[in-house]
Amino acid sequence: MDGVLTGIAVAAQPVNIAFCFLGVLMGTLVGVLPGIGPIATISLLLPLTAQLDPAAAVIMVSGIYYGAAYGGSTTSILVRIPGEAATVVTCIDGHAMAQQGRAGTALAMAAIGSFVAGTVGTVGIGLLSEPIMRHAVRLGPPEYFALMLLGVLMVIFFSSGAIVKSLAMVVLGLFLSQIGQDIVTGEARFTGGSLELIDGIDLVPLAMGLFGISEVLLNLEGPARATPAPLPWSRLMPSREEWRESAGPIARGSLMGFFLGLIPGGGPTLASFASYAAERALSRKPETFGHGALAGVAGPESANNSAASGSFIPLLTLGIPGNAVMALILGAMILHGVSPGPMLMQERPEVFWGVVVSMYLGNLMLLILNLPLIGLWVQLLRLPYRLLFPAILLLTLVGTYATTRSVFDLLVLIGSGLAGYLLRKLGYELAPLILAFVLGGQLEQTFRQSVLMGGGSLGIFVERPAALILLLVGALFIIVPLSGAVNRSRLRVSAAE
Amino acid sequence: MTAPQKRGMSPDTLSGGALMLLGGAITFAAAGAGIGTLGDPDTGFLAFHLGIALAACGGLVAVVGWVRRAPGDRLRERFRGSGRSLEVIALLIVYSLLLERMGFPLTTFVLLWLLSGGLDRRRRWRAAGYAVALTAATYLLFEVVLDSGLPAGGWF
Repeated sequence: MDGVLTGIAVAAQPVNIAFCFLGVLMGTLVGVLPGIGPIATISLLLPLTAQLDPAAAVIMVSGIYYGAAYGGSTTSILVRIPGEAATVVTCIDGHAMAQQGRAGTALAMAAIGSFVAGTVGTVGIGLLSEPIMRHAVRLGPPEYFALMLLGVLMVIFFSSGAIVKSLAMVVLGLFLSQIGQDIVTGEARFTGGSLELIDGIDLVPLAMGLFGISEVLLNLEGPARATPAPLPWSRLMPSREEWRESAGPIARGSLMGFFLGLIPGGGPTLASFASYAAERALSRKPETFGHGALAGVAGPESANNSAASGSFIPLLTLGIPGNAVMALILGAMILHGVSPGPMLMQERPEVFWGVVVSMYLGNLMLLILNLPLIGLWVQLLRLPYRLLFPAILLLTLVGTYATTRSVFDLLVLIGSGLAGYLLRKLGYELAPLILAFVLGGQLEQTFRQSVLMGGGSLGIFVERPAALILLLVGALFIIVPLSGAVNRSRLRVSAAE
Repeated sequence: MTAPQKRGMSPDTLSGGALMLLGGAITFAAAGAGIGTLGDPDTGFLAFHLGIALAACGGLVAVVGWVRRAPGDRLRERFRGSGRSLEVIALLIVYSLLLERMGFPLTTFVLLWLLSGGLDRRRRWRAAGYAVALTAATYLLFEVVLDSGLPAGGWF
């Protein structure tokens, strides 16, 4: 209770309210605009946050993250282009609803479900963080390694398409994280003699290229984007039956998303896919999925927002970023001398609780912003794509250059964009790659520490029960689908798209 | 009656083969860097095993791609319409290489003009207007507001 009061005192400061609003507004904007996402925006604003108080900085970048989850649904529903990765699945039934003249219902349910889920997530953070932190101090390198590996394997399981292809992407991501200086020996590895690669490949250009530029390139090839019709306010309100129909998916999505967000490697994208699959499995009318099922929007949208909140827990309590955006938020915290982990709540309670309470405020702001401003976002999307995409590409390029001041990183950005484009054309998932890249350094470090602890053998992972259980669960997530049982249902999910 | 389409090399077989080659190259490079042992890993220890894993995954993708190849699923079909995307990539590369030499305003204007249809006679002037406006707005945001230090290139 003391913590919550501390949080309210911090979050209610006018400057923090202002930065929370700025964060969620920017998050919504980048969520709406395809090709530029929270990763790009947060990385662009990192230098700016250096001028701010630590709590204000983290509040703002957090707002961008969960704000993007709200905004992405708008473009997914109206023009079937995911504003960001977590809203890909909303394109399926959300756009189908729009084509049936039910865009308002889809948008309203996405916003309301997101608010409910965000609230659930915020409460969950408040309730679970302290117990997790108390136990986290007992975790050692073997447990951390197993936890991170489980997260990566779960991403493989929940990604669409072939398991083996996703596994290949994980391996590739882990290799890319190897490029640079060896943390133990200090030797340069796989740099090809390039001085720019001594510090490794920068996350910002890699992620922006893989996701942002490849998205633009793919959109250029598609049929001319349908411009959304104007949307009167009166058509936003769902009917009573639609409320009833959405209640279950929102509740399930909120809980499922929160727990999936807890897992390193989990997060909004994973949660949204899992929720969609679950709602389809539970539905009495599964044949409606893919053709405008409200549960196919309400569930995933709730799940992705709840997961956005849940994914803060591994970062704040364990210091483990669960996904690429969390890695950037970790960067923002370190920039301000804040070390997330088991001691954060004790050493910097104003930062921890300020961020948690501001999430609730931010979710409230987003609900208020998103419904009345839908008209504005619709206008933005009515811009011809041939005018929109140059702006997106330019922001991506200049954003990268402004952050790194390096032409080499621009070339990495473009190269990643080309690679991402080729991989997606060939049916490879990019989320496993980027997650493995983010976690690669820590995976290697904890693995080496574990093996040292075990006297040079892998037996340490068997001797530590928690690590063993996590590794066995992770193995199941790969073995079961490879056996063929789950692949069939995964193929059905993919076919519906 | 149309002749049945031949089942040639599928994109999966080709991409799997590429991954095998990449995995092999990584393994070879890692071996050169030194592998060490589990108890005393050298610089290339993890990469060596990752290379093997990547090659194995690539092999599986290639084999499954070969067995399940469908008629008409060729690389050419998969990449039909990629010309525009490759043009954009080429433009972005040239932009990046010239950015610091020619400066932000000029290179950005030219890039935006070309991307928004400047070579189309009907859109030439509208594209130019759009390019000027967006260049100015971006310059204002990054240089004036965020003080990012964009290259002037000696022109401004």
